[in-house]
Amino acid sequence: MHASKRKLAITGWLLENKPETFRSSLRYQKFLFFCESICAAEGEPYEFGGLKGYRKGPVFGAIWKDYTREKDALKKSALAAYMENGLPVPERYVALAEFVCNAFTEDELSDITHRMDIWKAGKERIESGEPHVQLSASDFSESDADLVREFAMAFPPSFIERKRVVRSGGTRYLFDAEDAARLTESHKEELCRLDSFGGFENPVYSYIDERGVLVFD
Amino acid sequence: MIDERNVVYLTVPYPEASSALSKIAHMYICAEKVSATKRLVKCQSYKFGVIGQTSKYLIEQPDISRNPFDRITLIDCGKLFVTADAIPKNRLHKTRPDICAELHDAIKATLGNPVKVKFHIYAAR
Repeated sequence: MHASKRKLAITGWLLENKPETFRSSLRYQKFLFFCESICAAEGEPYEFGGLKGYRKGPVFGAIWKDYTREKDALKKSALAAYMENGLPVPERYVALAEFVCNAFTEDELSDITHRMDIWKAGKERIESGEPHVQLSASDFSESDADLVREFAMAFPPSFIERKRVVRSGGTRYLFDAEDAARLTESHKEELCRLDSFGGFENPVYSYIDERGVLVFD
Repeated sequence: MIDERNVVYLTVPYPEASSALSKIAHMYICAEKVSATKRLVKCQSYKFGVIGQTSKYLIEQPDISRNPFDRITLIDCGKLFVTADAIPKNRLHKTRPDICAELHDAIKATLGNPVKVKFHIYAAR
């Protein structure tokens, strides 16, 4: 394995709790990047070593190698690292990073990372055709920290605990767990119709009223 | 008729006026009332990225002693909606019909003086 023990343990948490986020390499990389960014913003130890800037955002190179070449071994090592040593960062940070990765589409997640100075430091070279460039923790700015602090404000722990993301096309609807369980086939068809209508910004705060009508905020 | 500090909650069929299965919710606070004319500010759930979309705002945590909100809410003081139409009392927020005087003062201070009117609206009937 090329990945650090820290990244392996964080990945182990993901596999135990939200394995679907591991299935998309882009969302998995964003998850790791947001985890480290939240730690950096909150004054916790962080690890940006080996971070590279690609067209779609920052990527941890060692993890990328393991993910693309030895995925099964990565999963095994990650689960072992998590079981053995637990999570090296506060769980609310990893839960927040994972929630963000589900509340937006992959393109939107890339747009968010493109707004960050740590990626912008390599932007010119990336856009001029270099496949990837080395990114540095020293370019993680106060503005980057503010951006990830906004995640925490928008999605506090009690909110993450309560909400379920319902995907329909490119729209991410956030329902309370009880409402998500009450969604009928007609509701789902309506969510799909509204997705094709395209008037929402993700994530869409949604609930079902007493008459069974979908209400969006 | 509603008064200053009242919070009104309106739902409008979406995306078409004929939509029966989905609605958009709107929440407004009556910031000022002079005779029948009401000046309202809009509230919305605090969302990631929303701050860049408005210049003057207040962020309010859910707190039944201050407001009826059930989630972190952004009160957009960069736009003012004005109507002389009657807004019936049944539009008042069910959880709590108003905001506290302290928050009302904060909204007025954020709106500034003189208040610039941005939009005239007709109350949902």
